[in-house]
Amino acid sequence: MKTVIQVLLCAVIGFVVAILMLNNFTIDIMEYAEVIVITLIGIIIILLGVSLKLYWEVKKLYNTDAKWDEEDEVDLLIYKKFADYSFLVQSSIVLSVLVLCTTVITLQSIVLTIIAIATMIVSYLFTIFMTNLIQLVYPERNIPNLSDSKYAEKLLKISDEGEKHVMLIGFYKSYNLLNVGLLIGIVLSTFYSISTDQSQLFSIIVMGLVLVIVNGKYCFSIRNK
Amino acid sequence: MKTRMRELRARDGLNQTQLAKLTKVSRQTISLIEREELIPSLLIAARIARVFNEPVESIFLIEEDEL
Repeated sequence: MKTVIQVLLCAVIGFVVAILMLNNFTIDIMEYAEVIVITLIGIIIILLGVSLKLYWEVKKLYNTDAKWDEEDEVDLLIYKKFADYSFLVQSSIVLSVLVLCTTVITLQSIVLTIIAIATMIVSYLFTIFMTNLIQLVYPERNIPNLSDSKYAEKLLKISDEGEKHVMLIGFYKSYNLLNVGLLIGIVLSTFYSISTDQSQLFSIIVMGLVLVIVNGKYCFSIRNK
Repeated sequence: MKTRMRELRARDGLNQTQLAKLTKVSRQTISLIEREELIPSLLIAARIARVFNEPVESIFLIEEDEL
């Protein structure tokens, strides 16, 4: 059933792209660059605001004196809020990079560029808070620092089998999504190049290389075990 | 594989967090095992059995067709 839905979805995307191309549809993102940048900055500010709220909520929950089943519920709530915080901060970093790149490429006002750099710095600071927060909530765990060159290995080493099981499911789903997402990205970039006469060949090659490297890394990792 | 962990926790008055500390794993792992979403390793099964003072096979019930 899942495969049928995926095939149908790809068919619909292909059909829409073909129809748009046949009708000489063009879209030039450069025209909307300023609106995109301002919207993204707004989204980043909201993301960081919610992250800050989550940060204080986790700290508050940690200091809650819960007993029996309530203790489990508090731990679950901390875990979920921490995961949300992590997602929001990662998203704000990616969006900050996007904003900075857009302002630099489209040569927008220096103010927007400075704001973009500021949001990037603030987002990075939030990732440091994230590590501090997890060290505060789980003091008995020897959580590695984000700056540690062997962060991934150390994190896996301190994780128990339940945590590894959850991570494995998450990583495998993300890996599959990355493959599909980059392929769609290549198709859309090709369509954009044709419709606007602005070659995206470099991005297409980079996306293709990333796909090959990611798949190669995965295959070699499982092959050599 | 079925598990009697929830029943045994209630018997001994332990919550998931306490059992997790006693078995040196995360509460998430205990929760996954209890929900039968994860089959524990031999080591963790043995630690759980020791906490409940029960043999492993009386906590984790393996169906005949699973063997």
